[in-house]
Amino acid sequence: MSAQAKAASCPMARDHKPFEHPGTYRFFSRARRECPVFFNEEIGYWVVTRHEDILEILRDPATFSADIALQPVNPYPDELVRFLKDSGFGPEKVHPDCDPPKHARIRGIAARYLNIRTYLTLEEDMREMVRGYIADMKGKGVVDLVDSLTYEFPARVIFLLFGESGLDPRQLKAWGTNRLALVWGRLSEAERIAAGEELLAFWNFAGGIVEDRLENPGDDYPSYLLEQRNGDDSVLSLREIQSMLFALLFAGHETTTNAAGNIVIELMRNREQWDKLVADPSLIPQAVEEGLRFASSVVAWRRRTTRPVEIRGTQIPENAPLLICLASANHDEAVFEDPETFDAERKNARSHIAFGYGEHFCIGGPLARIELKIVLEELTAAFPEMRLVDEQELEWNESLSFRGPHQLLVELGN
Amino acid sequence: MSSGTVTWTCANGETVTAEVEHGMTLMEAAVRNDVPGIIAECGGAASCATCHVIMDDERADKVPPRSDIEDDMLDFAESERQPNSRLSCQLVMSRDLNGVRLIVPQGCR
Repeated sequence: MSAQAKAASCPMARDHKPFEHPGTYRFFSRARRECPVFFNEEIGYWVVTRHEDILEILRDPATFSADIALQPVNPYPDELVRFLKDSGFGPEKVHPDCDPPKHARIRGIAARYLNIRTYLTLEEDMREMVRGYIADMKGKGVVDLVDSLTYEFPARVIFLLFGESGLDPRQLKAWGTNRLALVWGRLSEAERIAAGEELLAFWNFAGGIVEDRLENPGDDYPSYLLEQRNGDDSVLSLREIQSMLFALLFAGHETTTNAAGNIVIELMRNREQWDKLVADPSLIPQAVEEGLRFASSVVAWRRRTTRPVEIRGTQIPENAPLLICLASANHDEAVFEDPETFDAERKNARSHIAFGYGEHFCIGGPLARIELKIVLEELTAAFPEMRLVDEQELEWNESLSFRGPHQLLVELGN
Repeated sequence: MSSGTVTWTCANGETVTAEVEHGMTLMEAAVRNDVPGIIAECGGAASCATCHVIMDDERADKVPPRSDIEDDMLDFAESERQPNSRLSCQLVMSRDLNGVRLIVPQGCR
């Protein structure tokens, strides 16, 4: 450990368990007070916890590169690296993890399709999907809300953007979970090597879509990208397109599945808030913002310094990896009054940075908002008496960045 | 530092008026003054269209024209684009804008 790192680390930093979720908000509340920037030796990252500091970082992509955002937290074993390389696996850095000036080119093209206007055209289809799941739940006493609704639904929404209706959402979910564990999790070496096959299959699935749309263009995101490219690599290369699809096929649903589960848990734990939404559904969009703030599904994201910097008095060297704790920022007392209270009517809930901030701001954020709104509108209407099943042990992923329940047992009360 | 007033009016007619320093973007000024409907999620990178405003007519030609990226994003703003629509992160307060009035189409909904 460098002298700088040593000087910056606080005794309490040892309590930071970056892959575990229980107790994390309590830890960060202390960290924001006692050592808002510290070094975590387990992962070798500088950890930033305050809202203001994180905004500064996200506002400055030249100093804080996004290029490590999707890299494995623990480098892949050599055997896996060789296997992936020999098999042709190789996403290019695209809008989530490329820097200026390339970022403006890629994001500019993506944003002309992935924007609120496109998302709003899907709203009716999305509502129909949710109603279908709810119809299947009716009459059952207890269901796992994840398995019955929030697991598949966001994956099927992504298929809408791809113009696909016959694909298996559970296959996409499984690929997503596999990639999530490989990149952001804490798997053994053997587990990581074993996960390589499915990572490759996922990548090849994106490649297959590119090949198909070259032959059979449709009215969908992949076809739009190919049309923009119009055979010109300087606009977008085929590999960049495959990488953009690979990015969306992952980021487009994991986070929303988790966010939906998280919000429902908090509404069930704060019964009076749920009852308010039942009585007045017009409060739901604001409640979604508070849910994103209070129980963010992306708890931390990563950046790399391109020069030595000082953050809140802590010297950080060039080329240092940073873990920016979005969940902590979203509970920062300096921004949110009484941050540990879930208040569906909180005025400034939308100052949360659950979708990030700055030029990498989540391109699917507006889509997730619509999905979450529909889920809450339909659930409150269909099951106003819904309750969490008592004494269930909630299980979370072991993940540096993603937080959501594996299972959520509810009594529907119908 | 010199400054001037800016008035934001949202959908229900509610207004916010604030003194804004020259050189500050009108998005930053709106965020500092808690103007409803100016979210500015991309932090001024002209890539989210959540700081969409409509300028009052006689001032619209006092500001630099839209860049290509701003022009694109306005097409995707949640509220329908108007002839004088701008992303307020791209508008910098100046003497020419003293007293400017901005409509916030997403405000107070």
